[in-house]
Amino acid sequence: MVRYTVRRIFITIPILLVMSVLTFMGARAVASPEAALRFNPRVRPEDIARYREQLGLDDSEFVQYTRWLGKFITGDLGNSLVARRPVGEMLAEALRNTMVLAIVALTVSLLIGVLIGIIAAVRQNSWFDYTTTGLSLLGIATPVFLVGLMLQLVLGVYLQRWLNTSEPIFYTAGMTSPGTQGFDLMDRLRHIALPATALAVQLIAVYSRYMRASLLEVLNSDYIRTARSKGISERRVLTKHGVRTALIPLTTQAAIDIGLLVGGLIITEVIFAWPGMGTLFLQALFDGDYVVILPWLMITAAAVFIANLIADLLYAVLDPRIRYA
Amino acid sequence: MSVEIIDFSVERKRPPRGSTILEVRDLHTQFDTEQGIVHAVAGVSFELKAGETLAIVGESGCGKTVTALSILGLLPHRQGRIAGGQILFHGEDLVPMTTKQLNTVRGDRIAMIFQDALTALNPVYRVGSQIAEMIRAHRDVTKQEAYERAVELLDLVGIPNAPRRAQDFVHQFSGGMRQRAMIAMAIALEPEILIADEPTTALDVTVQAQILDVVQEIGERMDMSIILITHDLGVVARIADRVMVMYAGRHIEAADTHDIYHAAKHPYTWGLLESMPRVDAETGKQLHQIGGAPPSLIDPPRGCRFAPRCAYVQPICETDYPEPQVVDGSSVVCHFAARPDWTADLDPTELRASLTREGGS
Repeated sequence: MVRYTVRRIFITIPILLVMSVLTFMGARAVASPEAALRFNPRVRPEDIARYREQLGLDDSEFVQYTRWLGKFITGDLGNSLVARRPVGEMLAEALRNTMVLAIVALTVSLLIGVLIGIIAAVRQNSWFDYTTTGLSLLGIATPVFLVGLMLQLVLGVYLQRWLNTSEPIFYTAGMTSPGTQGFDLMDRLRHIALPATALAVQLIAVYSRYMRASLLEVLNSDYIRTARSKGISERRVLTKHGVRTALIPLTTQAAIDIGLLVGGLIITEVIFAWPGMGTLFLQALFDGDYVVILPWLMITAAAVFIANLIADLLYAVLDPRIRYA
Repeated sequence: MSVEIIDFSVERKRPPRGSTILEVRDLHTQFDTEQGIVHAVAGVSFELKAGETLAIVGESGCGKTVTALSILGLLPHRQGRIAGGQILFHGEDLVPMTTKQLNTVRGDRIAMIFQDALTALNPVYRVGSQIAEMIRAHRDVTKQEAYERAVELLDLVGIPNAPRRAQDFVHQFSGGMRQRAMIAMAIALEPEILIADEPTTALDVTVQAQILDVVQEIGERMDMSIILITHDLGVVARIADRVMVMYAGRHIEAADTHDIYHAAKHPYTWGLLESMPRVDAETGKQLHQIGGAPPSLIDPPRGCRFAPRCAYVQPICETDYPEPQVVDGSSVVCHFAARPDWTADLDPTELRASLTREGGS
């Protein structure tokens, strides 16, 4: 399995290189670095020319690309054109914030989704099954911005009004209250509740369906019948032989999802003003800050590759039938 | 097989050989499907005597497996159900039992070997621990003791290097080894009844013979009664004491093995026997086949279910279902079983002629 892992990582390198060319071309085509300067009415054409020269924007694309790649590989990400802060620092902070949100939402969704899936599968075609099936479809079909806005409105604004409190129970924006000193868990929870719920609506919908299907397949298999023929309790048949086996595909799906969430929370983060990767990306795009956009794209792409690799390895660990050589 | 059997069976008085330990009375089992209710088993009755090997034979879909699954209450939860009849195990009816009550019987007193061991064993648990799990469910032993017993059992059924193979997963076993492992699990608690559902179907011929030897030998050693489900009449001749032939969800003939092969009383049994390849048959002669296909079990024929395919069919066969009658020690479900000229050599036209004669007189 070590050999397999090493090989997978080596295969990833050329893919990431090709990706870097594409993102470089794409980012440069979309983002115009001097756009931020142009907003200033007092900027003279000479200033723009000097700025372009400073950044080496008049060199050939190839020269610019190789210069950027060399720095990127050695870890020199440079400074943001607009924020004037080291890009590495900005990305690290944004990544950390996004992971907090993603992991909280994913964990909650897995717990609830798996539970719903198990009950729906065990009581197939019951009112519980039909109800959760309907709600799941609704959850999958509702766009996250709608869910987010509704949550802000109902659990943020209205709830505060009904309870007539001086501040909202759940905050609708940000990660912490301004001026908070140190780590205040309650404050953090009251901030993360709504964005995590907005994400969880879709994730629970997907995971519960997935778990239901997976468990139903397992429960209809011959080895469950064998387990029953052994005289072990129905509970043990369900948990040890049923759920344990049915969780394997779900676990790997969750691992893949973490990779996707690194760069996939743009809408949620913007709605809830969550200072993560999505907010950073959108800001950089508006600013034409390609110095931020390029490593951002590389990191989110790498996250998907890594998460997929972990999912594959996890599969081999959990399912003895699968062995990679 | 040099290992001494450690006695893990509880002190259990085995009933004397020849007494009835399982009696199935008028069993009806149904399945809900999108096309309608399938009457997979429609009125099967039989007895199993202590120490005997009873073979249930019949073509695919005739209800053999469903009968076996009904005994242990293993029908698919939602679709399948026992709609009537009794399954008396030592006189106690298994049909109305709750799962909890059944679990004291399952595995411990009646155990089952399934057809395809690759799918019938859990792919994500080691073979040894799956056997140990069953022992632990019924005996007050430690995990360690149960596992050691599992290894012994694997050795007993002829798996070489059992301590190491017990740690393997089922996909790492060959077809024959898998079936041996299934047998090891089924006999772990020395059950009174072993139900083997086509245990050799997925195996090649040489391995089939080995597996049957194992089943037979261990069955005798542990003094078990065996219900062997098969469509292979060669297998039946080899190990069964008695045979029950099923057709379209009903038993049609039950007799001692010798009588089935030499004095069968039902036209369907004749057809089955004739369709079996024989070494002493004329070369170049085409093998017999029973024309047509079994009837739909959703809307079965009103009279004898074999009537549409029977060469001897008479008007009464299509209207009345024949009652089982005992003829020369065999139980036969055919209107004409008691006729003196009723053998496989009887020409259907002769039957018609003599029936007309009798009707006229």
